[in-house]
Amino acid sequence: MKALEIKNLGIQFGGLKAVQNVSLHVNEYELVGLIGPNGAGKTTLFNLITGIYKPTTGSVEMDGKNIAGLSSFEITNECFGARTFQNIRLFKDLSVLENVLVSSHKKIDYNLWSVLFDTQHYRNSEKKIREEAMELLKIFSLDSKADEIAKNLPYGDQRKLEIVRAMSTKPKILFLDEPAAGMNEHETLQLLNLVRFVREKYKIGILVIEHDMKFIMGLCERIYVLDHGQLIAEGRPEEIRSNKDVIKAYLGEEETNTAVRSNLHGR
Amino acid sequence: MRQIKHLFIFSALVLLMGFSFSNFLGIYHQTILALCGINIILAVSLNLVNGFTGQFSLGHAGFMAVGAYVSAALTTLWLPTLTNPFLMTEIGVNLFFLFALLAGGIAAGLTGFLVGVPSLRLKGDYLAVVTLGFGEIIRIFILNIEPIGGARGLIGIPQLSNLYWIFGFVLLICIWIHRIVSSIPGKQFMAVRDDETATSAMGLSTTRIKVRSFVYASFFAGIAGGLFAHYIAYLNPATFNFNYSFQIVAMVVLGGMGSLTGSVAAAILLTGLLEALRPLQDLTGVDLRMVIYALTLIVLMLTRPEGMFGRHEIWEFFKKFKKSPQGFVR
Ligand SMILES: Nc1ncnc2c1ncn2[C@@H]1O[C@H](COP(=O)(O)OP(=O)(O)OP(=O)(O)O)[C@@H](O)[C@H]1O
Ligand SMILES: [Mg+2]
Repeated sequence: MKALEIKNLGIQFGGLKAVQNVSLHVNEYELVGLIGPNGAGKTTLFNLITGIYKPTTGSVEMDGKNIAGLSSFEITNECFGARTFQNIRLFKDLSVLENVLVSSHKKIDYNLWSVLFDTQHYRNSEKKIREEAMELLKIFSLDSKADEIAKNLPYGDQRKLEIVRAMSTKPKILFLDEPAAGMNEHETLQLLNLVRFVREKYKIGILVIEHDMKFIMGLCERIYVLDHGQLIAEGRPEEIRSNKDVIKAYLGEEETNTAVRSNLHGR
Repeated sequence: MRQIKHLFIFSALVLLMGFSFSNFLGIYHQTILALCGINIILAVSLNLVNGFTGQFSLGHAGFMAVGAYVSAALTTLWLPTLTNPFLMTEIGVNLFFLFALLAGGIAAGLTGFLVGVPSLRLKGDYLAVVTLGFGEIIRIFILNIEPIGGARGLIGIPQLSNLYWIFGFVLLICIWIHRIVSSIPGKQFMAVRDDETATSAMGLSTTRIKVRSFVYASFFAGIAGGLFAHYIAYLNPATFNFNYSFQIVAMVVLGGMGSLTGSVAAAILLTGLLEALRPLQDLTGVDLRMVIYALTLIVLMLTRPEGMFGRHEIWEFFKKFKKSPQGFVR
């Protein structure tokens, strides 16, 4: 079974066809990249997959289930897809631990009364859930910062926490929207290792949007290229690197800009 | 065991507060204290919605009115028709009062559900608009029900409430709301406040969370209404106008959205201020109270826009104080 299967997906905002006729898939335990110039429709595609937008055409299947008619939270619960956001969207006034705790609703086995009357069962249950969340933080070495308020974390840790928070929903496929944006070379390298680690540890499929070519080319087994809402190429990194349409999309129409070409080949 | 200890401390505190308030103060100051207590419940419960869940409700007095009228109707209209001898005893009457209070709370909670579901499903400030309208609708609705007094108001409500009842509930509700916001479901309220999109991406129905918070708040407002009705022993629909809702919002904002102790402090401060200014009105003959009230709010909000306590509880300041010599200013 494929972790993600998209067929002829499209959405229109007024007259703008932000995504048109896109078909792509991600296998289980596969690391796939999604690249394309600014405004190509990459984030919009993520928003379609995660139920924030409803498609005008086409279908999305995740974990063998069609997402049609499901709202965003149901897709997370029933189709096991989790994501991060291009502009970090942490629960900024909650602590690191609490950011991860929010998704533990399935583990809550106490009711309102036990909270109000502070019963032993409630205490034990909360303790257990918090310990599990701490273990997850430990895996990603964020346990020492468990009580820090999310907005006070350094930028790199905020990006990392967003990934950990997504993992707390126990997804089978992970969507990362420009995880390396704003990072320096050192942080980007750490992120690269982190994404690989997540894939190895949890054996899940991952779809990554990123502008950093070195990052994408070094990380992904397969890459899709989106331009003006349409897929213009698909292939292994070395194939994408030499693809004429891709170079053209990044260069604009007729110019031959060596800077962009070298960017495609990694810095 | 722990619960028994808590119950013991709780009872002792309530008895102590109730006893000292009722015995060492005159009637006038007792009434102000009672109003303080009722406003504390209203402010703390509204904070659950406006502060912790980040939704803006503007009709809290409406839910208070539902609780007040439902409980008062039970004790004023229904209780006298009952012939059970147990209900003639002191204990019986007080138990019936407790039942009436809970019934008022539940009625307010249900109303909260009916108002909340359609308006909280939508993103944005629909709640503010809808609750604003609701507050007025409920007032006009009550105005037109003759059996509960209509525009004349409901008179002859038995005076069952007292400072023991009021401060018992103040303490209980503050503890309860503190427990709710400290639990994981409480963290979900704050998650909705910080980022709705991310909350749904975590697999949570934001509508359900918002409605839950709103229903809890309405329930507690209903209880406050019942306590109010049986303390003043008279209800007038005009009491629960927009002005009252606005005052509760002012308490929440002034105390700090997301600070329970802030709401308590602000409720006491603003209730006290309004009362303290009453003699001034008698003196000058014009209602300067609202002018001074508004000016006080403006000055306080200009100097501390995040409210007196921000999102912190009072004990957090002491902790920080100990830790860092610079104090808690951030
Ligand atoms: N809700 C919306 N309403 C109208 N237009 C939208 C909406 N969301 C996205 N668009 C438009 O769709 C197009 C694709 O935007 P999108 O954010 O998906 O690009 P992107 O590939 O993620 O770009 P970037 O690399 O800059 O993040 C843009 O032209 C954008 O303005
Ligand atoms: Mg984008």
